[in-house]
Formats: sequence, structure tokens, C-alpha cells
Amino acid sequence: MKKKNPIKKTTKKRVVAPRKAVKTAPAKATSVKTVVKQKKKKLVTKAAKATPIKAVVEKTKTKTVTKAAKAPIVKSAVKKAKKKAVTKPAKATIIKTSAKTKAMPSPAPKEPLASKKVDGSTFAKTNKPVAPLRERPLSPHLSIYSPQITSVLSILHRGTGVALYIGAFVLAAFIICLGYGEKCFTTWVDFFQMPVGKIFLFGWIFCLYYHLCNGIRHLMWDIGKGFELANVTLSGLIVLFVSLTLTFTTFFITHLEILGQIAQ
Amino acid sequence: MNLIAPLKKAKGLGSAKDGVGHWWGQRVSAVALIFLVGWLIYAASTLLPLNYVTAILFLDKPHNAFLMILLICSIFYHGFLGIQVVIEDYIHCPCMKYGLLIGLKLASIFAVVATTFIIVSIYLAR
Repeated sequence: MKKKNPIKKTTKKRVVAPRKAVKTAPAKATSVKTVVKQKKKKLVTKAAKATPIKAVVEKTKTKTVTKAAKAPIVKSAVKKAKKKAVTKPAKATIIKTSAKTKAMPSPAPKEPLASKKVDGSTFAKTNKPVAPLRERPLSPHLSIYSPQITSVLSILHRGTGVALYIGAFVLAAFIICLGYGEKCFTTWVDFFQMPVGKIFLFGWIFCLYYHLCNGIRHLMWDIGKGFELANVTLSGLIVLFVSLTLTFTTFFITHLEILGQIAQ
Repeated sequence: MNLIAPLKKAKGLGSAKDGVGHWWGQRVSAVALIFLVGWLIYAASTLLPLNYVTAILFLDKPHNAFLMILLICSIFYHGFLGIQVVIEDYIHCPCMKYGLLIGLKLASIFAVVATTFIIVSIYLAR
């Protein structure tokens, strides 16, 4: 006999795209001129946003990199930098030497600023607040699984346990009232004679019997017996049947007189 | 060389490495409760016309008195262990979770002590 699929909704067939050939990284430009051109573009875009003073500084940077500049200050500075070691720049030539180090060919071309990912290193540099993560999706659980004997009995075991704990406080109050005299005790007994009390009592007794029977089932599992699915469903059905019969038997016995009156 | 992330230690994430005592206590009290609840059902059936006099006469007998005390202790011990698991599973707001856990633990101890005292006092005043 074919077993019913517990999952309600039919899932669409996932179309997996064929694996593409792994692309190698594009050939990197190593010549100074191309690198310099890229730097120029960057600096030009920067200069467009920056203040005029900054733009002048940027322009002087680019000029020194490519050819001898028109301004005499720049020429002498460049000559000075060439004569001295690269690691020892004079104060006046701070801008130029930085331009020189920029002109050195870098191993890989950097990513454009627009597509920068936010990570720890950039956070330290930019000091901007990180955008909050969007709410992550959760796979469905209660909405897709139809109730089965295993799951329903399991949650019922938990539910009856909680109900029994609450009822235990009522039982404790019932016993405590004995010490406070006859009046206190009789009010409790009268409460349980009322329909509300009877419903409470019926519910608590069912919880007791059900939790007891299912608890024995749990202890059997703890020993290691009854794990096959057929045995699980069978024991579950036995538990339900036994607990219901015990509850109704208890109520039958305690309300014999009422039933006798109804029969007449 | 320690590979554990400091944030994990600070937040207290990961396994608690504790809980086997909880598991065993739950099972042993469950076994005890099978017998005690069976006795309760039998005792309640003998106590059918329930009023003040019959209840006092019932607790005047020593075996009824101490079985009742054992029953109450087992119910609240087993019950609190179970409720602790349920609260830890479903409630994540810290004030609610810890408030309930501590409150219910104190309430259970209160109920156990009060009931034991009453039963002993009824027996001694027979």
C-alpha cells in the first residue's frame, strides 16, 4: 500500500542550469602607461567632485607622472626626486613622491569604487555605518506538513504536561485547604461539583492518563524498543485508546448515580 | 593557538555541556510517578464520597500520608523539569524567560513545602 506523502504542496521541479566553464581572469595590464591612464580616469572623476584646490593638486599629480610639467617648481621637484633615493622625499615634494609611488605598477587593477563590498577592512577605512541585513527567509514547517499520529501525539504529550503542572497547583491548594478547616475545604469540593469544576476535572484526568500512557511509550523508546514506524503508530494508537477508555471509565464510575437517574 | 571566536565566548554561545542530570531526573521521577499515580487513582476511588471528614480520616493513616507527600514532591520535581524545557524552547525574551523560570521554581518549592507541612500537621494532630 502506497503511503501518503506528508508534505501538502507539490514542489516545482528545480531547473538546474548547466555548469559553465570556469572563466580565467582577464589578462592584467602591466605596462605603466595603462595603469597611469586608469589612475588618471580615477583622479579625473575625483577631481570633478573635489574642490578647486584639490583639483589643482590632482592635476599636478597626473602631469608629473606622464611628462615634464610646465610649472618650474614641479620640474625641479621631479629632478630632486630623481637624484635622491625614492625613500627619502623632501618636504616640498610630498605630493610628487606620492604621485611617484602611485605611478609604480600595481600587481592587479583595483575594483571601481561603486561596487565596493562592505567588510571589516573598508569599515575601518571609511568609518561609515554598515547597512542592516534584510530579514532572512525561513523554510516552512507547520504550513506544509499535514498532521500525523507521531507529531500530534508528541505535541499532545507536551501540552498535557503543561496542563498537568498547572493542575498540580490546584491539587496542592486542595490539600492545603484541609489544614485551614472544614469551610475552606467544602468550598473547593463544591467548586468541583459545579459544571466548570467537572470540566476542569475531566480535562485534568484525561491529561493525567494520556501523559502516563505516552510517558510509558517514551520510556520504552529510552530503553531502545519500539522505534520501527509500524510499532510507533501502533503504540500511539494504543496510548490514545487506553487513555480515552480510562478517562471515560473514571467518569462513569464517579457519576454512577447521575447516569442511573438519566437511565430512569 | 586558540581558534574560538571571542564573541562566542562573550555571548556564551555553543553547547552548555550540562543536562544529563536533568534527563536522568526526569526519567527516574517518571518511573516513580507511574506507581504513585496508580496509587492515587486507587486511593481516590476508595475516597469517593469526598468531604472534610473522609479526607482527614484518609490522611490519618501513615502510609497514605507519606505516599501523598511523595506524590506531591514527584509531581512538582518532574513537572518543573518539563516546564523548564518548554519555557526554554518557546520563550526567548530574557525578562519573561528568566522571570518565569525563577518564579515557577519558587512556586513549586512553596507548594511542596506547604503541602508536606499540612499533611504532617494533620497526621500529628489526629
